[in-house]
Amino acid sequence: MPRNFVWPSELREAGILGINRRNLDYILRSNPRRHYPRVDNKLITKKFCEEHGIPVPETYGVLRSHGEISRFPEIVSTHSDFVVKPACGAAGRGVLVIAERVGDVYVKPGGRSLHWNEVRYYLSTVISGLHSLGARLDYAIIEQRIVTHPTLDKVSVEGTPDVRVILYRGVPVMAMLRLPTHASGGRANLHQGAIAAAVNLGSGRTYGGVCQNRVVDRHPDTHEPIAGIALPDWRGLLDAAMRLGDALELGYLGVDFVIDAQLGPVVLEANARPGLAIQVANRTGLWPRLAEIEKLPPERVQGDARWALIDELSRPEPGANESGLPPPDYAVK
Amino acid sequence: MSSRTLSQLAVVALLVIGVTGAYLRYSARQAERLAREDSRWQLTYDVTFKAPTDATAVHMALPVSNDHIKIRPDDEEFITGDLIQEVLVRKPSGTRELIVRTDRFRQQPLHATAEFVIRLRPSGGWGEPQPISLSGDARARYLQGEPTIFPKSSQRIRALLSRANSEVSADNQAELLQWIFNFCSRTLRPAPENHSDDVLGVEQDRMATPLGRVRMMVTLCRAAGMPARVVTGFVVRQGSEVQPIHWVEVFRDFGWQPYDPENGYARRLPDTYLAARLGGEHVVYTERSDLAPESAEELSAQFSLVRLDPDDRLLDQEHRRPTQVLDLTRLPVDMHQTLALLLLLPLGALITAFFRNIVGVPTFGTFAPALFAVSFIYADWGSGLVILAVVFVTGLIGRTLVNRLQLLMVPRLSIILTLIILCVVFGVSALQYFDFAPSAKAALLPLVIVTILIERFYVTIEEDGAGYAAQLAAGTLAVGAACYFVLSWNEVGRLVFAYPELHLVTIALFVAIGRYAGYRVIELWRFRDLVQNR
Repeated sequence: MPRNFVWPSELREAGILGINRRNLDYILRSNPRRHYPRVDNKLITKKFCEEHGIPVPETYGVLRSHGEISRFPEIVSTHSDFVVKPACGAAGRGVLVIAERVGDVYVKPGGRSLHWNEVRYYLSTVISGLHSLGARLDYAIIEQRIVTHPTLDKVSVEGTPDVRVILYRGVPVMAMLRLPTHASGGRANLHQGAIAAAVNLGSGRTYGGVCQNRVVDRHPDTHEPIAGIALPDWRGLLDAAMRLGDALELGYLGVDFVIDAQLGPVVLEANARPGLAIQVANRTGLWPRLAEIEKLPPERVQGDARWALIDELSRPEPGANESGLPPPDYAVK
Repeated sequence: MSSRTLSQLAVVALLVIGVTGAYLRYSARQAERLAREDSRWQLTYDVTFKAPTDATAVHMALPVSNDHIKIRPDDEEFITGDLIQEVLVRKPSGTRELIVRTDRFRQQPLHATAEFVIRLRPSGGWGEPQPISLSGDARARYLQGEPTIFPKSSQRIRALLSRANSEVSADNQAELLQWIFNFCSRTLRPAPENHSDDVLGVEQDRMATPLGRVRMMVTLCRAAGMPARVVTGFVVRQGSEVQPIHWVEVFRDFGWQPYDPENGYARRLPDTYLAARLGGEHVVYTERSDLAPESAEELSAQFSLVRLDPDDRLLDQEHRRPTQVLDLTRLPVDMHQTLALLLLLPLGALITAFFRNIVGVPTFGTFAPALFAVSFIYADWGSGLVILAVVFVTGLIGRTLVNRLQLLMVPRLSIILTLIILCVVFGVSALQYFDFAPSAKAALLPLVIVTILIERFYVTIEEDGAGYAAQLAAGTLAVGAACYFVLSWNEVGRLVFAYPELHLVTIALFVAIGRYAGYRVIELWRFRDLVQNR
């Protein structure tokens, strides 16, 4: 009979990382506070990516003060679709996607249109810091709108799916694919009803699916299967994640990618406090993997030596079948 | 040194310093209270006698320490001139006696003086009395009848006792004892001073002198099989000629229980009662037998009690000293409540930290729950809650309306603040109009916090959905309520105000929570499927 709670010893045996241990043993120890702006401010993250040749959505312009808002129409004049986001927003907050522009009217992907006045007000709230952590003055970034890769088209509704990779000491330890649903309002946020699927680190193939802590194997809106999707250019994505991890000098890091139809995987943002829901998506704990990597000498967690490590980590656990798919009892619940 | 070791050291150090500080302050307070309540008295025995033989002896019973009176050994002084003095403890009563003897015949009257400093302390001040047992011999001694003084076997006493036994339930010694006490203390009428102290006379006339009552009670107790004795001592109060008084002690369970039938005290005597002779009617006596060679003549004893000056510390503490800064209780009373509330806030934060980091309840803002709890304690929680609800709803409506104006953040927040302040002010006024007598203190809700909460709530609904916002609001309410229940406990407020150093313990707990790497309670639920599907 399923219980409503489990004992701490059971969680420990299962290798589940709790939020307190994540904060104390990994974030506080591995992430120097002075490097936080590198991930909390998307402009700086983008600069790092560009310097290291890591693909990011092209930046069309940045509005740094209320006075610059009037430059907005000029910036977007050559683009019919684009995204506006606060530089310091968290968890996809305050993102405005424009699919079409007709003179003064901006149309969102859902079809709702905004007049220039409304866009101007939205820009001023972004700059006032409504969405930023700690409500400080913020910048508005206007950038290229990502076109979802055809592989993922059938399983994304109202938004863009993203891939989260968690790196520890520069080594990818776990990954998941987050799919927006109607219920999540197009955002790839798990606690709002987005779906998460585990991604096998070695093959880049998805398996399993979780929605609001329940196992799902088909997308609730499109009814397409979630498992078995091979993510395009997976090695390139991991390579970009590792290079970004090295550049940012943050030991415990989550990197979010979106997969563009033309560009392939591009970095959307990085996170110095990545959440723990990835364990639910992968149906396994982070702790043993982190502990294993913690023990390794520095030369094994640098450069190309990491590929061997990734293959090691992605080996199916005893009990799982060869394909890397979860054991059969897992899907039947 | 690793951060873990350092934290552990910090926790231990803070705990030790905090607890030691509180303990030192507690003992200092205790000492100060005692210095205020204690009193010191000088008791003097002045004894004059004539010695007809060369071996005359006078026995003086020395005052006895108990749980509220203390006489230290160096507080006793005996001035006996060239007489031989000797201190003995009499068995089985335990009375300490000073025996003064002559070694040769004297013509002149002889003097002996004994002086004692008596420290009087409120009940229990010198510790609880130890349980004792009565040896078989002692028991027999205190059950014995004495034909003239305690005629326990006389017909009339037995008749009285059987009447008593018929009026109380069988085998209930406590009830019987109470009957005896009531009889001696209430049924017997006061007798004129020259009335006989004789028990049988008392029984016949149904009136008694103080000593008569005491003798009657001892007789009845012994007849009923309860060891009992007469105790002679003093009531401590100033006087140059103090008369000794008598009371009864009955042995019950593990100790001697005092009864004063004359004044109606039972089982516990006033703190001023000072015993001297246990099991006897005279503080000072000499053998009154013609056969005894040590019998003194013209023995007279005079007792006096003088109140001494208090401890110097009591008079000293009025001086200004810098260390008084550490003592908040000396501040004017109207500052107490404000400072006590301030001191409660860290405890509120502690509760919040516990709920957030150990239980895992999400809240709006870090200190909001604690601040609300403290403001509800300051005002009364009823009007506080009504006003908060009204303010919150008004604020949210205001925020929705203001949203349409599309304003910048600071002016927008300021409009909300102004709105809710107006709402609070007129809310208080309206409550007053409808005779609800609100406390104007409710107006001191942390309104800036409320403003920011309203903004956060609104934005959370927009961005993360009403469900998540409601979850956060429920968490905030739950933690706030927990804070309120702990902090509204009056003793907690008084304790942190009297012993603010206890907040070092609070800091130690913060460090401990801050280093807690275990699972949050909520994670035992959140990750349950990961364990169960393995």
